[in-house]
Amino acid sequence: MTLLSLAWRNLSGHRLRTAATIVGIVLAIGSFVALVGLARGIEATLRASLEVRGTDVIVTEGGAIDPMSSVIPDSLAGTIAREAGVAATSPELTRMTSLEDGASVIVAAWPTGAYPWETLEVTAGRLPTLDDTRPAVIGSSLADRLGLAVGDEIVLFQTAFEVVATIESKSVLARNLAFMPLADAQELTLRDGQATSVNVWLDPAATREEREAIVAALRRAFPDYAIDETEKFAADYTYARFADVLSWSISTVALVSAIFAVLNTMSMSVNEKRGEIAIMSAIGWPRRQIVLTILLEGAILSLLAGVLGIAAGVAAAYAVSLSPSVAGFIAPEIDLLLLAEALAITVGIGLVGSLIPASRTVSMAPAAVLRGR
Amino acid sequence: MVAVGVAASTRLPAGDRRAIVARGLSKRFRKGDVRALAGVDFHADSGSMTAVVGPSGSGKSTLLYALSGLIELDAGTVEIDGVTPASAADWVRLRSRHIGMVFQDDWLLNRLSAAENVELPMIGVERSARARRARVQELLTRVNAGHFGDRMPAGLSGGERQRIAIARSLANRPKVMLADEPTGELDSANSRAIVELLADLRAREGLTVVIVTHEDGIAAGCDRRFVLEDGRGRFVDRGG
Ligand SMILES: Nc1ncnc2c1ncn2[C@@H]1O[C@H](COP(=O)(O)OP(=O)(O)O)[C@@H](O)[C@H]1O
Ligand SMILES: [Mg+2]
Repeated sequence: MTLLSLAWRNLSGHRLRTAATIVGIVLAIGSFVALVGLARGIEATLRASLEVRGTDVIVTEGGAIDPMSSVIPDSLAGTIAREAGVAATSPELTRMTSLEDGASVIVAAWPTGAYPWETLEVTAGRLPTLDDTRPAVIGSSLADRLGLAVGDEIVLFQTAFEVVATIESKSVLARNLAFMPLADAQELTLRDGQATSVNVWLDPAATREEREAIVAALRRAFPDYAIDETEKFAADYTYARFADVLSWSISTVALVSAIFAVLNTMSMSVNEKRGEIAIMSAIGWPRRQIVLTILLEGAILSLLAGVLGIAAGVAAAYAVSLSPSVAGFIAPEIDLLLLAEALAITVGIGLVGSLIPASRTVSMAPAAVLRGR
Repeated sequence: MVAVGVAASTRLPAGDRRAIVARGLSKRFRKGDVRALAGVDFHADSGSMTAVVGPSGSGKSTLLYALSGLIELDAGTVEIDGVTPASAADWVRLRSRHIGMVFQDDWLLNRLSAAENVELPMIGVERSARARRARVQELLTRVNAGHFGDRMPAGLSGGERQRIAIARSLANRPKVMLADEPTGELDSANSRAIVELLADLRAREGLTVVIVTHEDGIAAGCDRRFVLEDGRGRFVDRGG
């Protein structure tokens, strides 16, 4: 017999109640892991797709809610390119369109021959040239999903394009993108002369301080535009913020209700153990040993549920990310940090939920209980 | 003899015959404004067996709880086994090492086997699991329960359960046994077996037994009889 095995007996002696409480915690921890993992995935996916391209700075319309609703002149790229410390620039028009299968795809468009094309990792075919009519490059996941290879036709913006290349990428988002020349996209979306952003590459030899100085100079030179370093741009991405706030608020509700589930279970447990607690006093158990037994009960309960909840959350997040409506846009970012957070929250739930019931034993008068039933 | 009201854990010189010395015990329950103990003096010699008798509600249980520190007294001093506890921690230590308690109800934990129930008081006291197991076996044999240590309490008779409770109370080799109507729920054969067990422990191991009882037969078998009435107590028979 140890305190741990005693606590375990108490839990296993009430299978239904223990199981019900575990389900409550599993749902809470599971939704925390899934929602927060997905929300962080939105930001991570965007950041990765920008980083893969090597973009250092992104210029968008000042005050635009998200990159796709930004409208800027494509000529801005040439103007920025002349600034000191800027190595290369390219206008980009990003639009969403629906595919024949009903799913959506993001299309990124750059001027033929512009720098971003060079950053693509072509696995089959070749990059578009000015001689092509309606050429498109598609990401490997998109190609797999639609069963397309080089030479096949893909309908984008209601228009047939020829797949001239497929690309591979570390970024899920990039693997699911379609790319086309800027002129085609501008024509088909009635956005002549427009872009959504300008990708800026800084002088690779510049130090960190110099880069900051260059960005500051750009901000002074173009006060009407939003000029952000890639990482900050991804973090500030409005939908990522929405998702973040939403996922935290939903999980908080779930987590708080899990605390109450533990509180309720442990109160019941302590209540029906009045006799046991009294006899433990009578046989000379110190209060802390009695309290510890109850805390252990809560700890086992919540840790068990926490591990199950994390597993459920990871599974749910991946299931959601594979569903057709979001496939390719979000890869859940579930790293050790998130798992550690989930585990810490679990321990917190167990502690907070059992501390109050456990501390109540201190004020229980053993004599009144032992006197007789 | 004068109670030595000094610091906790002060032991009396060897050879002292008093295992329990209590003076001026007073307890008033606010609820119902009951004066359960009204200045009770009590003592018991080492190795003696004392019956506490009196009508229902006269304060017998309250006296036992006072002697074990399970209730807070309004006034009075208690000295057990030469120790005058000064703090809650002292009382815990006393109950753990010096006092064994048995109640009308056995208060066995139903999810633990008989043997595990006996082991309970040793948790946190005897670190070696093997030593605990050996002691449990010894105790089970002592109370004639060697053959049902593995059984769960639900499968045991009232008499068997009470024997397990006695074994549990003896786990850490106490000098004093406080028993509150331990046979109250048993038939006469089982009652006799329990009382004989307590008498035997007293005779063979020098245990000091204080037993609250309603049964004249049990009281008659004790060395002394302490009568409580309306919270006041006195020894009847040869004086104290
Ligand atoms: N926890 C309590 N709260 C209020 N009154 C109590 C409590 N415990 C005992 N009493 C009262 O104190 C008196 C003595 O009780 P008790 O010691 O149990 O008597 P006995 O064991 O002799 O039957 C009774 O009147 C009882 O009702
Ligand atoms: Mg009583």
